[in-house]
Amino acid sequence: MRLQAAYDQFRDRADFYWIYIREAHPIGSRRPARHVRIEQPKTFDQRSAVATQCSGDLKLDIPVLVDGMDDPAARAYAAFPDRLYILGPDSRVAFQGGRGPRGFSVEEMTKALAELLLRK
Amino acid sequence: MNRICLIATLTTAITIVAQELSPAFTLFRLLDEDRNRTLSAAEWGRILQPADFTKVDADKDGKVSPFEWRDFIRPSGGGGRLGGSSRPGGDGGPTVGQPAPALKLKALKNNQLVDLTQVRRPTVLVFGSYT
Repeated sequence: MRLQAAYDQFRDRADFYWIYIREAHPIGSRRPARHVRIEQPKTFDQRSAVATQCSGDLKLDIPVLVDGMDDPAARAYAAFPDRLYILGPDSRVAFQGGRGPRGFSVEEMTKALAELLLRK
Repeated sequence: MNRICLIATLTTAITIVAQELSPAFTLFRLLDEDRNRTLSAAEWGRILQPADFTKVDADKDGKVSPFEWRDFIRPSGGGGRLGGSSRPGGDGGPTVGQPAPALKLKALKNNQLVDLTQVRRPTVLVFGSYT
């Protein structure tokens, strides 16, 4: 299942945030991305601009939050380069996905979210 | 000839069983309460969008078969950024049961601060970048 499809199915019962963090493979890095060429944003406004571009290009409706320039979200969740988490309504961690790219599994997140919703 | 038919049938059966045990069918199995390998509208509507049931039920027989589910789910695997094999948990970060780390982030849409220690319902956090 793709992220957008998961969001479409569960948006009435769960909140979703896509948290835009530091670029993993920008221009000038050891392995720059080939599918898109992006400079590492140097200011919060630049980071917001790339987040807007990415969200539009990938056709994601998921509300976007932008990580601060000192990367507080990526650090707190050890989320670089990508990762999935679910918080329960008690604001505790209900699901911890593996670190991307290998550990990033929408299927596992969807299963955990379904189990959480069916338990209620 | 009979042997060829038997092998073909067995291969098809193994393929179907393997497919239904795959991660893409995890949610299907969770929702299939009566274990009849189809989803009724009621089973679907337990947590999925009721309006989508009729769209996914392509042959309009009132249930979603594994084949219809496969078309609906279109697994994201196969090397795409949003697919990949499983390596759940580990590698740092808060673990299940721990409180959400103190964190307030700005929403792109309206610049409002969102406090991720004050969620009201299950909240999925998708961390990532463009590259």
